[in-house]
Amino acid sequence: MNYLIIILALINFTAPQIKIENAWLRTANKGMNTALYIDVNNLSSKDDELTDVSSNIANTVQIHETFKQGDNMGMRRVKSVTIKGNGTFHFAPGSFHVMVIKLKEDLKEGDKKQFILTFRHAGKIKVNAVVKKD
Amino acid sequence: MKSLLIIIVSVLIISGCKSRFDKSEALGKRNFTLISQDSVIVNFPGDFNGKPMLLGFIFTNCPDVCPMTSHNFQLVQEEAKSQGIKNVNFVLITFDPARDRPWVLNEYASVRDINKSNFKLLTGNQEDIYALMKKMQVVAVPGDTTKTSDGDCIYFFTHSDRAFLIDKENKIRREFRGSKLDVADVVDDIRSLE
Repeated sequence: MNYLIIILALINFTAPQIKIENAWLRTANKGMNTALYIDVNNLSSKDDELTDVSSNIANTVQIHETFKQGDNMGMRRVKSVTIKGNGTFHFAPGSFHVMVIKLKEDLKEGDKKQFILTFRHAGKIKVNAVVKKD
Repeated sequence: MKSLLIIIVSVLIISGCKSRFDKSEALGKRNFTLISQDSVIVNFPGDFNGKPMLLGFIFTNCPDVCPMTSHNFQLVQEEAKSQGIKNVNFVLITFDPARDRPWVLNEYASVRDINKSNFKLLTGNQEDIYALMKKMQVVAVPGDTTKTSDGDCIYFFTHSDRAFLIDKENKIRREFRGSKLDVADVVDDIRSLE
């Protein structure tokens, strides 16, 4: 019985807690900026927090949100984003996005680029994002 | 009773004849000297007389909203072409002329496969661009600023998200949110102005 509990605990410990889907980023030129969009699914019942995103394709990568102020649209940096337990957080056009600043290369439709997402509890997760024209 | 019927029928006829457009506002006589992505001097709006035009404002360092506007313009262009609409122009003007020089606009168009046959990206000197923005009531204020890992300071704008449909006589006929426009609806508008 004790073995069963230990095995179940290990399975729970090693099971992925965060699942990333629909990762894509926009075409852009070397030296310019673009945005990464993802759906973050938290498979655990416990809240988690995305605290950092990195990639070797750009000089700087940050989490930002687009906001509407009257008739105007603006952006601001956010330090982290909370992913509710058993919830999904959408990084989407016109909303939260990962800013990819000063690209080191051109991004063309169909390219695939790797990012590393760092979560407070789930740790580091690699994701491959496809480049689209959208 | 007969009078009431006449009034009701008249109202129905008048409302049925109402234009699909909510505006008819002249752009004015001033021509702005701008420059295209191919470094060709363009008189705006004079050079676009005679065809309806979808007009928007962007800056190429924008990672989120402006690319949505640019992509929407491309979708409208593709849909208009597929419907056989030839007499239309698409124009995106930068509100960041200091950074968006012609070659920058050209690269922006190239990486997005923008069909430049009837699609122009325009820049110019700051005085002309700002005067044009004022005329069109387009706002762009440097806002969010990011320091990159190599010490560069990159600024972004808090800005209007306005696009305009202009008829062949250079009158503004409709306004949209550039990043959210309804492609089919805009194509219908263009067809009715062709």
